[in-house]
Amino acid sequence: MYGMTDDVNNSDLLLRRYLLGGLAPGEREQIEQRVFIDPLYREKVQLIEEELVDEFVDGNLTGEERAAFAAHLRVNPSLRLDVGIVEELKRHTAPRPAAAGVAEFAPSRWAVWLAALRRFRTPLAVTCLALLVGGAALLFWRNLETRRLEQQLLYERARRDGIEREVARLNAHEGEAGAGAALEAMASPATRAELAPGVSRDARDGAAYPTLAPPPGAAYARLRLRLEPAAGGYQIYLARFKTVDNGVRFEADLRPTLEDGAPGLWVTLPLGVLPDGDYQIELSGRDAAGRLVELPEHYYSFRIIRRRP
Amino acid sequence: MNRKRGTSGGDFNALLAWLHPDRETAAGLYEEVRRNLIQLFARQGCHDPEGMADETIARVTNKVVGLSETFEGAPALFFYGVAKKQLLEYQRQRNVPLEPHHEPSTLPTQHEDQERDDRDDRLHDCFEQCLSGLAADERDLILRYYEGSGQEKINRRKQLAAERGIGLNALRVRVLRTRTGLRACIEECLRGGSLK
Repeated sequence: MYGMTDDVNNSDLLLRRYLLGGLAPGEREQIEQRVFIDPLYREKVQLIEEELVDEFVDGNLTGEERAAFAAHLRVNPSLRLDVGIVEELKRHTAPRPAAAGVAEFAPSRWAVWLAALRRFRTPLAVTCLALLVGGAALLFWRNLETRRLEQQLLYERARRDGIEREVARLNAHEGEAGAGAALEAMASPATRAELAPGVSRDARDGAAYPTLAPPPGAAYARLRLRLEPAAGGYQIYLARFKTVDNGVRFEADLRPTLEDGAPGLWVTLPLGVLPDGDYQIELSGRDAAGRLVELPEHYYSFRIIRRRP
Repeated sequence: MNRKRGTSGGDFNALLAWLHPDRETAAGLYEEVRRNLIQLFARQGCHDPEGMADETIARVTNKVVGLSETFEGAPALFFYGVAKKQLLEYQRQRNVPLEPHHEPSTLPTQHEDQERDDRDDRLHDCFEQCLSGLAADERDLILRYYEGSGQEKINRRKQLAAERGIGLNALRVRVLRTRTGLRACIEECLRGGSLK
């Protein structure tokens, strides 16, 4: 300690033990008697006591020393006052702006926070503080999460809108010369299927669904919907793609074409908005006035199962 | 100078005369003895160290007439001897050992917490008042001395000592004396409620 001699250090250690209650009665009485008759010795004891208080407040005592000091603190109001004064001194200095020339010794931000937190020491206050901090953290996290999800939703909507516009454009040109050949070139056999109307609505009859198995990264699939004579001779058909729970995922206006003399509808599916699962297609004809006429016999089913990479 | 309740003026004068022929020096010795007694009782965990110190002084005062002729040695040691007997009586009465126990700590009750908070608030107010009463140099010294922690604090103290051209031990003694004065002011403030 501060470069003192061994004798002084030994004496300091003895006094620390005395002040922490670790001396035998005989040794203790010798020190006490000397304190009564030697003012300089008394001052030395006070210095060691001040050192202990300082170390206690800073949390620098060893576990055993701290326990002994705390035991004294419980029964010694005078020592409690000393500790209180040193705490006040440290609290007073903690938020002070650093003086010129000692800026490197400025108290840390943590010290300021810890000093402020000392005011919240009752169990109730600690609980309230913990609830407040926890609640604020939860709100902050939820706010962040909501923003992230909103951003993601906006992105997904924009992407879906883009896909649907593109698909609507492609489907609108179905039946035009050359369009079919170009689109056919985009689709592999795994992303192309021909559906006959009325195929097992829900596979109750055990018939297998026609299945599309697009490879990873495939953006489109092509379906050929066969038209029976009951479909009438509409210029435009509306195909609604529904999930098994009757939710509409996608719809498209389609023009009929002939292939090998058989009428049918080519439809380009945006795979980005159709996850794996079972789908049903309801078909309606659009008359000259633009009204939709339901075609209950023209009901198609299919399944999408993507191939794993 | 504090004066023991119940001691007669004549006995008290005899006590001072026994401590030292010079009355002023005797008064200083008396205060010193009283401080030592209070400290002794406080370190032993007595509930009313000041009251017990006054009781010791009263017992000595009651015997002082014959003491000057029969007791050899430093009068302060006689006070110490009486105080030790008193501590044994205290121990017997309360049936507690003199040395504090290292009891397992228990959680304070809400009432105790409230009391402690009130006490802390009063201490804080008195501290601020007494600190502002210190001379600027003393205030600066004590605040800078207690600033920081760990190595940072040690460096600061070395710097403080160097600025004043004194050694670290001399600095510690100077701060101790300043703090003793500050403490006396705070104690007075807490006792008398002398807050403005």
